[in-house]
Amino acid sequence: MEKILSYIDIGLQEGARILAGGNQAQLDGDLAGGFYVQPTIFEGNNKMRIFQEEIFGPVVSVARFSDYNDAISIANDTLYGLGAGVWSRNGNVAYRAGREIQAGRVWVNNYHAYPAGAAFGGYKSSGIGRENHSMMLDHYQQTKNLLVSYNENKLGFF
Amino acid sequence: MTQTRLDAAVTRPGEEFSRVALMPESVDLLRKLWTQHGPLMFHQSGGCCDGSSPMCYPAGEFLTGDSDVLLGLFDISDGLQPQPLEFWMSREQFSYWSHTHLTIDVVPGRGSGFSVEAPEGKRFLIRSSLMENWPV
Repeated sequence: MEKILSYIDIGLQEGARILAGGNQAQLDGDLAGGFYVQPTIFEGNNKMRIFQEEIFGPVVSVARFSDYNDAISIANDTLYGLGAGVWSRNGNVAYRAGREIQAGRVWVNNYHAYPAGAAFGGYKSSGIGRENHSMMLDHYQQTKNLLVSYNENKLGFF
Repeated sequence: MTQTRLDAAVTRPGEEFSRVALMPESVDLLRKLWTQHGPLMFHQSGGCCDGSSPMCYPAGEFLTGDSDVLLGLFDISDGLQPQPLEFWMSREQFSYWSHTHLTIDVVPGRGSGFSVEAPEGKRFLIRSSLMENWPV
């Protein structure tokens, strides 16, 4: 909670606008004194640290974009690339965006799906390699090339 | 008990301002950890999980190199024996953090996995503020 509030603090200092939330949530009854933060929406831009870091709390940062290329450049202006989501009613736009966003997993017209067996891992500083996909089993195996002659006769080289 | 905030000595070539500071509680905790582990260092890698916290290691245990930036150098001693403590950050991360001044505070909670304060029931926390006159 302290860390999330410290992010909200620097977000405000950097000039981001709070559209909702922004404070610790003070709840009653059994939940009194808990480590709760109000669901928080920031509006700002990619120069702000809250747009560049994983806050691990109920905080989302939203930015405006002017067109497709602007949106893609904002999406890729980050050190990280584990997961991304894109929505469009235009299939071509959705497909092109899915291809251009530099992330290990891009959800198109859905979000946060984790089917077993789907390759999981990140681009850029979000990691090296992939987990879960069946091809990962190869990493636990040796490859052996066994060269066998079935010829009944001597090879004759030596 | 330490009473005042401790500003790091400037280590970035061409800069004349301190980028990182320790709250008094952080100085006290670091002195305690120093008696247990010997010389210490900080590294802030960025990213998720442990990377979002300043990680405190025995000095030299985290190997720094060209991909890291030395942001500041503390002396946490009480004036007798010098106790130099370096604060490092991933160079990539610094490119996005360079406009903010960092203060290392201590709050209750469980520290990050490999950070030496983890068993103390306390953890280091970065508080940030905008650097004055920094071109954003």
